[in-house]
Amino acid sequence: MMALRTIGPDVSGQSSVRAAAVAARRGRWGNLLWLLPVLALYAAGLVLPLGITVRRAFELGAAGWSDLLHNSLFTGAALNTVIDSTGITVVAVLLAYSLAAAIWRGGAIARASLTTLVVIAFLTTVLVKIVAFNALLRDNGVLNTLLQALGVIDGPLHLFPGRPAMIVAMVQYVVPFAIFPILSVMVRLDKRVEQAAESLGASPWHVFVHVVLPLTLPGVIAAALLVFVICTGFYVIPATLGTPRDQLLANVVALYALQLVDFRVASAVAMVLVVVVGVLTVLYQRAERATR
Amino acid sequence: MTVDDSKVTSAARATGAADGARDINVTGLGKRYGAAHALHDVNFTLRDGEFLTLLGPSGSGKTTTLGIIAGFVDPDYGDVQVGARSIIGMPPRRRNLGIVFQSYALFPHLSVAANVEFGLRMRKVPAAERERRGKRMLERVGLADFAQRTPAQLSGGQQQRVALARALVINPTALLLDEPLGALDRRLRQQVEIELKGIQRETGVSVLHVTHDQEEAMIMSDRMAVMNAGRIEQIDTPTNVYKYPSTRFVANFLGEANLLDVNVRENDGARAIVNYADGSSGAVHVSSAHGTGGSGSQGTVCVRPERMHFASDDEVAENAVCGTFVSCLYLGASLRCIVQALGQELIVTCSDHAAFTSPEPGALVRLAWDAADGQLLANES
Repeated sequence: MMALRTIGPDVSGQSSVRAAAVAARRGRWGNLLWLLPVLALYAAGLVLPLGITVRRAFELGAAGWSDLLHNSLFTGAALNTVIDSTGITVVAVLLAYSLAAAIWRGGAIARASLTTLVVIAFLTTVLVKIVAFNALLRDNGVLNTLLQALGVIDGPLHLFPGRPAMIVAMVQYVVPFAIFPILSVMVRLDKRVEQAAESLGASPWHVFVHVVLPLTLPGVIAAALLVFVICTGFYVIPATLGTPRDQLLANVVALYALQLVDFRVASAVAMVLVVVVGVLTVLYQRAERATR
Repeated sequence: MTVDDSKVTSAARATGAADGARDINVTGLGKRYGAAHALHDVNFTLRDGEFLTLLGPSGSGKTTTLGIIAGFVDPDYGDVQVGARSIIGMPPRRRNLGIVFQSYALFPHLSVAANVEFGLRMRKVPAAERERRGKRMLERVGLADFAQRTPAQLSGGQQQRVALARALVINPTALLLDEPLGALDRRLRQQVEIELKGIQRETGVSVLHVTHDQEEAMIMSDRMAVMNAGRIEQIDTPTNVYKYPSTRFVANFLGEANLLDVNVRENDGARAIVNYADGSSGAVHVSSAHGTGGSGSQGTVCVRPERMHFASDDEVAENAVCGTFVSCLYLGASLRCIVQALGQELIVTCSDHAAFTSPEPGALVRLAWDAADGQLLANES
């Protein structure tokens, strides 16, 4: 009966509606099929461990959490993370903005060479950078030798291990990430809007302050959030270039998980990080959408 | 505009007009991009209060000319003067010229009011006066109720008017319009053309307008300069450019033209006696002040399709040629006929009236026109 009705002429248009529904359902499931490997990976690699982490963190109980908040290892690292991430974000975004502007405004050659340099910096593995900064910044490294040879300083500056080396390396690491959101906004700016401002009497500085900066601000905000999120996750750079006092939250997680083998505290600290990063990521995605 | 303001302005203009202090003089302007001449020896004066259009196809140099006057493009040679003062090398912000771009180039992050007040803000005009003048300008373009909106919330036509208000509020020496109507649809465009012309007449501001649309140029301009390949081919009132085109390019670019090869027999600089390809002789007006050939030389005569008419065999005419009727299209208000004559297809348009009956295809016909309607064009160099 049903078969007959669907084979018969489509008088009411019902069968075509039904066909569309079937196609839509098939499209949905077809998509899901493609996503299956990724979903499986996410379930096994992210959702499951995250679930375990959350459970472990709650095993700590109220007293455990209270202890954590009075644990100077945690509070010190948390403070370090906030201060370092904020400072690095500000410096990196400023550097990225000027570099992006140079690429944007540069001629074909400047544009191509600067972009290549940025991409190289972007693709170089962090371990290579660490070795390079070690060679550059240690007491008998390139910088100190040079400054002493020039007579600028008498004894070596203690840059490594410590905050200076760590911060320089982290800034260097995040600048390429900050360039792309800013540059993508800049290249879409209509040259004629600037010309209009000029013709209305705006000096180069006023064109920048009143036109270019506000119009590239979405890119700046996106870049800042992205950089901050990356900063909160730094582990290798503080571990290798910083002193024990300079460690960040990710290093505290590692300390508890790998050396003290206290997975409950490790999970609790990790959860704090995940929540902060999660909130910032949502904000970043909103900001990023605003740049389009 | 209040009564006092208009008095002040007209007084300023009256004195300005007397000594040409607000005229923009363009002399010998040239610009090269690599080996290509984008501009070649461009000369004209934008007179105070005048609406002058640079009309030409894309690549003819009109936008480059505008860019040089605005200060966004540096010329390779030549000069641009306001009054007697050269503005070459002066940054755009000191030139006091209002510019309206085809893309409008409004500040998307600022309200309509802030857009209009931008130029006054840059001139450090006090906030109260800024607001007053901005509001007045928005009223003039009919957008007073839209002051707090952002450009994205306006239609294309409204954005265009905001751009116009923003450029006018600074009392510019001249308004430069770079294809400002290009992004508007046909019907809106005609309305804006009339509005724009009205605003220009009210404010008395000089306008240099760039377009490739001949109708737009005809409707709005006091004078128009027809540009081709980096040169100005002709500069005159729209009527004169249409009626008395000086070159083949101008004749073809503006409306339709029948271009006839002729032998010039006599040429006194105002009137010429010519021989057409079929040997018949006729009298024509000498259109170009310079560059037309003397007696014995080859030349080109332009006759507009609506200036030719079908003549009876006994009609006495200053110019008459015989040909074969090919076809006729009925266009409502007019008829567009094709006649094979002088070894080419001639276009004849006639208005649709009862007396006219279309000849049969293949019939022999006689075409005639007055001496004033044939124009001897300048020789191509």
